Amino acid sequence: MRGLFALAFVAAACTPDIEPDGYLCGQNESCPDGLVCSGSNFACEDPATVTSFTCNAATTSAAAPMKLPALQCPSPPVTEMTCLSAGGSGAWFQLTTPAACSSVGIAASIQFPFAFESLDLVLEDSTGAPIGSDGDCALPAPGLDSRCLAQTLANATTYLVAVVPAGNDCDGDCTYNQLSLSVQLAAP
Amino acid sequence: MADSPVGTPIVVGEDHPIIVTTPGERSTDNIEFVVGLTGVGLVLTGLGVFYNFDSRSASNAVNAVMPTGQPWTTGDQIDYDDAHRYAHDAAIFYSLGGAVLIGALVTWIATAPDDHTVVIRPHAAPTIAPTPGGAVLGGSWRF
Repeated sequence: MRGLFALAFVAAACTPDIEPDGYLCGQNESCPDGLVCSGSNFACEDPATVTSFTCNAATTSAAAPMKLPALQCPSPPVTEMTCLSAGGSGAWFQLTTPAACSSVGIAASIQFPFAFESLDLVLEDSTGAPIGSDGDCALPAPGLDSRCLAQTLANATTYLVAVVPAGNDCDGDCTYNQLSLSVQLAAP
Repeated sequence: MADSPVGTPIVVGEDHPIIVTTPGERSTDNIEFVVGLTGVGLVLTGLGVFYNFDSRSASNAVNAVMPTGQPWTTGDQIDYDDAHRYAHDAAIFYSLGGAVLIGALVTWIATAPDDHTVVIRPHAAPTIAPTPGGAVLGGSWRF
């Protein structure tokens, strides 16, 4: 009988042991059974302690973008932490290339949690017309989704970097996300 | 054999029978049945061990008692589901195997043959054979 109890214990010990915060939320807020995706730290937490997603970033548009600091050629990366509120159409950032670059290109990337809607990075001209799109990053960020964009630019020209929803929004339940944008001017 | 007081010679005769107790012998069918039952129990328990190891392997792939910094993926979910399914299968086979082994043990005990007791009452007869200048005294026993 003791052997049976020991065997039962061994069998029971083979079920996964996953503590709250053990994993970050996966795509579409996926978490292990019994845990729920938290909107504040994007980790799988106990349902009793989970907090909802909030976004207090200023609304931007192609007509009224957020202006990035003046960039040199080449420039160190400029990073902006922001978010897209539920149902938001995107976030726009404006940059102007210097006039005296021998050649200049943009290297931009975004990193965002897998948990909520996917995002795309789009390069637009000053009127908002797309002139470049993103792709997979050579070095993905651990635990985060990321998109990268590299494109040759013209001197003394204004561009818009747009972060827009790319679908995969939990069937409409997670039409928001947090993101970190990095923009750098470098030789193409 | 009947007990005799210390120092008293053992006398074998009709009044002092020889009692022999021999263990009963199991039939071949009984032995084959119990051995077969035990074999089935061991096989079932072995399957439980097999699924136990599979379950443990799948569990180890997704265990996280500390933050991993990794997102929960479809592959993790598959391991998670496998771990639970294999643990369930292991529990079933452990239970079946254990029950069959206990059944084999109970059968072994319940079907143990009774001991056989044989009482031997020897018939002793003295013999005297005359010889030149004397005689030879002896005895013969019949069982």
